[in-house]
Order: sequence, then structure tokens, then C-alpha cells
Amino acid sequence: MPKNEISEDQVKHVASLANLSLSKDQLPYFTKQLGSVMDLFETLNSVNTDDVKPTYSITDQVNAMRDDIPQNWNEKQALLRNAPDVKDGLIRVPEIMQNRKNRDRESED
Amino acid sequence: MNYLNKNMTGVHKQLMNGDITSEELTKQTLDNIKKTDTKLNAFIDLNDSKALDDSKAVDQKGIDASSLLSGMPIAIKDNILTKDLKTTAASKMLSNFTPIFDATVVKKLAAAGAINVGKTNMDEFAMGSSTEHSVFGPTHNPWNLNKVPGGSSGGSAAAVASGEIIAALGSDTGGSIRQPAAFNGIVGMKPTYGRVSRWGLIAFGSSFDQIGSLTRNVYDNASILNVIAGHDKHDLTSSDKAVPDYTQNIKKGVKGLKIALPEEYLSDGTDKNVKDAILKAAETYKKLGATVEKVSLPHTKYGVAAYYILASSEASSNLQRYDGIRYGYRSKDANNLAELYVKSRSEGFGDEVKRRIMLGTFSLSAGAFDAYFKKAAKVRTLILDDFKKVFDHYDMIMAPTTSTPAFDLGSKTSDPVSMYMNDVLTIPVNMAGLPGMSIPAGFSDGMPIGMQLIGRPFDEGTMYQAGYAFEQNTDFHKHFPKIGGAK
Repeated sequence: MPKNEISEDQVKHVASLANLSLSKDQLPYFTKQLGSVMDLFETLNSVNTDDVKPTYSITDQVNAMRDDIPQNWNEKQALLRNAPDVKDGLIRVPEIMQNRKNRDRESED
Repeated sequence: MNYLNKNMTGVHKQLMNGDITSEELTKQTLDNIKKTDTKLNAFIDLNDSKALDDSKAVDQKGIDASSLLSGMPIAIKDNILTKDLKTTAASKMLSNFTPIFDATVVKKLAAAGAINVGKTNMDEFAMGSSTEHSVFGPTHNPWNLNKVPGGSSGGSAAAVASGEIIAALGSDTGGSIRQPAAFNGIVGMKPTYGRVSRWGLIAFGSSFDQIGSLTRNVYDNASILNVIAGHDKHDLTSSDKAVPDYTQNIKKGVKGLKIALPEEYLSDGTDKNVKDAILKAAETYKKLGATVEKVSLPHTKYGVAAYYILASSEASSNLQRYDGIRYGYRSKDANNLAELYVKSRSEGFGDEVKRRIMLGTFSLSAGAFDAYFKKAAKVRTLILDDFKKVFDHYDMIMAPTTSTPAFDLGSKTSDPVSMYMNDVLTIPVNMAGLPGMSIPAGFSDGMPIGMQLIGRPFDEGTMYQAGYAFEQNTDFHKHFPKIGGAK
């Protein structure tokens, strides 16, 4: 058992932040695994990092600038072939907002 | 035909002399891959008809005497975009994705005359150390089919080791070129961060990702870096430093070279046979006129923890783009847009990718950022400083690439921490953005052992020189796995 007490609720919360949902079977499995990885993370607490600056990037290029000019690749058809649902040259998605009737019915539940 | 006993210089000569045309070579290569890959599963997709057309075009133009890659079949890891050829990152999420442009490295290889014969298997989104996390099933190690080929560039490594192909591109975020190269007894170079453009590489950990090649020998590897290295306006982290000819000094030997051997890499966690092989390699280098001295890189053991915080954080951000709208997998039973995102991602990503996304999301979340992400970024500074201190006094570092040879398929898939610990000796190099190369250095119970050479930033030349010298004075690269059809 991992020492780190990460709860199923915490894992569920993190999953929801990442737009993931875990099934009832998956939740204990991921909770246990993430707990043992968190134990590994805790080992960093034994490193003294007072007065140490964080390193976020290691490129030797500083402020690489370019002109912001749009380019038309003229690849609309090729791009649309990758879209899962296309109609009339546009990408189709399910309803973005529920219509009023459905919403009212749900809020009554 | 297979490439077990071949090198690019030799094949180039055959093409130049007209002993074989590029079309014949490409056809024979594809035929052998189809035969061998039933056992290995190193390829996700072959580029059959296009490769034959491309090779015909090179034949018609004539083999270019000045380009070793002219008419030469090669393979590409499936997280590197290839125009009009499916690029899946071994994920259900992208199993139907066809790029509309070539990655810069693919363009450069094509310009040099190379023929792309297909896309190699990998861990999903390059997250893994065994190529078992692929939606297309695991790749097997040609030295022993019950062992993993390493990962995430396991398909590229197995394809080269088995002689299916002479060279393949891979990517390395925490060891994904070097560890599979070690497990397969071949050469794998992760160049300095910024040396090779990542434009068209499916992003995983953007402050770590780097493209490099896996080859049968050191000279071939240097020849490929000559082609793929260089500044690219499309990758703002790519360096504008001039690209030297990496083969120019390759035969100069190691006389006077000051080599450091970090004691942390030979700790109790390292298998005895691996340790012995590296100590023996140190003796070889001394005999060749180099000095080898023990040094300390004290923060080595914290690399894995810091890396899995930082790389997962970057991954969780990079993978937010997969929402099932414009491309990629879309769930069939979503009633509204919010549900579409969640269901598409939950059904489209595999377990390891979900673990990393959750670890990263947690590390970046309010309340955890300072204790995890920022802390790990500070440890990264300490690891970087360790290397800087050593390179003040030494030209190069030698070490094992991995603490053990290849492990059994299925032995670590349910235990992420033991899988992550696999990268303990390769991760520090990515943390510091340094070049690292694995070359064959021995065997343990019939499985290859890899030696890792680590250089100063942009000093791949010295590593190729040292790697070449070692190769010329040892015969580890002349042993072949049985699976490739070696007589």
C-alpha cells in the first residue's frame, strides 16, 4: 500500500479538471497507482532547494521572435478529412447549450 | 534481405555502383519487414506504394554521390508527422489521423534522398519505457521475443536491431531513444536540446523532447545527424548554432580525452553485469589513451521524481488539444459538447497517458504548484549544476544507459513506479538538455548492455569520436539477434 493518502475523491477531482472520467472499476486502481507515484514525488522533500532558482526551459534561444503573418496552406479539404463529423464543409458538433425545455426539466429533477 | 551485416557507407556504394537500384532495395526491404514483423510488431504502418514511387524517382534522377542517404530506405517513429501517411502516436486518439504536412526532419531526410518505408511502433504518445503501451500491441525484442524492446522508441530499435531497416528516427523525452538502443544492442543518439527541430513531432514534454536516430553503428548515426540538425524557424527552441560535419573528426580517437565516470550510475541499483561491462569499457578507453576518473553527480537519484512531475505537467498541458472536435477520436454517445470532450478523451487515451495527465494536472493545480511543480523545477537546476561542475573538468561522461538489460514483457505494466525507475540513468540528461548516446558495450545472459556517453551541450562531435573509437576496438556491435534471419 502506498503511504501517501490520496483519496478517491481527490483522484476524481483531478480527473475532472483534465476532462477525464474514471469508471467505478478504474477509480480504486488509479488511486492506488497515483498514490505510489506521489510517494516517489515526496522524496524531493529531502532536497534542500532554498535559494535555488527553478529551471523551466533549457533552450539557448532567448526571445525568438518572428513576424506574425498568417499563411494560407489551402488545405481545407485535407484538414476536414481528419474531422470526425463534417457537413457542408463545416465541422459539426453536438449541441453546445441545452435547450430551455430540457434544462428546465433537469432542474426540476 | 536484411541489414544485419551492413552499414550505410557500404549500401551507398552498392547503390552508386549499380549493384542494386533503390527500387530493388526498397522492395526487398519491405518484403523482409513483412516477413520478420509477424514476430516483432515493430511497424505500425508501411508506406508500401509511396516508398516504391519515391525510390523509382531517386533511381531516375541518379543516386547522389554526395549524400549517403540517397535512395536509402529508413523508418520513422509514429509520433513524427508524415504528410498523407497516417501518424497515430500509437494511440486510439489518433488512429485515423493523416497529417497535412511533413515534420522538418522528414522533409530533410527526403531532401537527402532517403526513402521512408514506414512508421514504427511506440508507447502511446511516447509515454513509456517498454512499447507495451501501444494501442497496436507490444513490440518484441529481437534478441528474445519474451523481452521488451524498451521504449518509447521500441519499434524503431527492434526494427534496426533485427536488420529490418538500417536506421530509424526516434524521439527522446526521458530516455526513449537511448534505453531501447541499449536493450537492442544498437546505437541511439539523443542530441542536445535545440539541435534538431521538433516541428512536426507530436508534443509530449516540450522542455525535454528531442528527435534523434537509431542506427547499427556510430558513423551512420553521425551521418544522419548531419542531415537532420539545424535551426528551423518553425521551432522557436531550435538553436541557430552552426551544424558541424559530425563525421569529420570521428576517426581521431580518444587520446588525451578526459572522461568522467559518475559513481551514482554504478550504485547498488545497477546490475552487476552492467557495472562490469562499464568498468571494462573504462579500461578500454584508458588503453586507447583517455583518462577516466570517478566523479559524483549527487542529485542523480532525484531525477526520476522531478522528471515525472515536470514532464507530466507539460504533457497534461500539451494533451489538452485532444478534444474530439477537429481531428482525432470522437466518442459516439455524447449528448452535448462538454460530454463530448470528456468521453472522447476517456475512451481515446490509454491508461498510462491518463496517469500522466492526472499527475501533471495535479502538480500544476492550485495548492500543489509550489510544492510539486516549482520544487521539481528547482531540483532540475541542481541536476543541471551537477553536470556543469563535472564539465568544468572533463570532456565527456561515460555511464551505463540502463541499470539492467531488457526485462520480461508484462513484468512491469501494473507497477508504474518500477516502470518509471527504468529511466533513472537516462532522465538526468534530458533534465539538463545535454546530448546522450547509447552504444553497445556487452551482454548479460544473451541480452545486450548499453553504455551511455554524455557530452557538453552541442558537443555531439566528441561523443561520436569516442563512440567510434570504442566500437572499432570492441566487437559487441558484430553480434546479431537470431530473429532477424541471421545465418
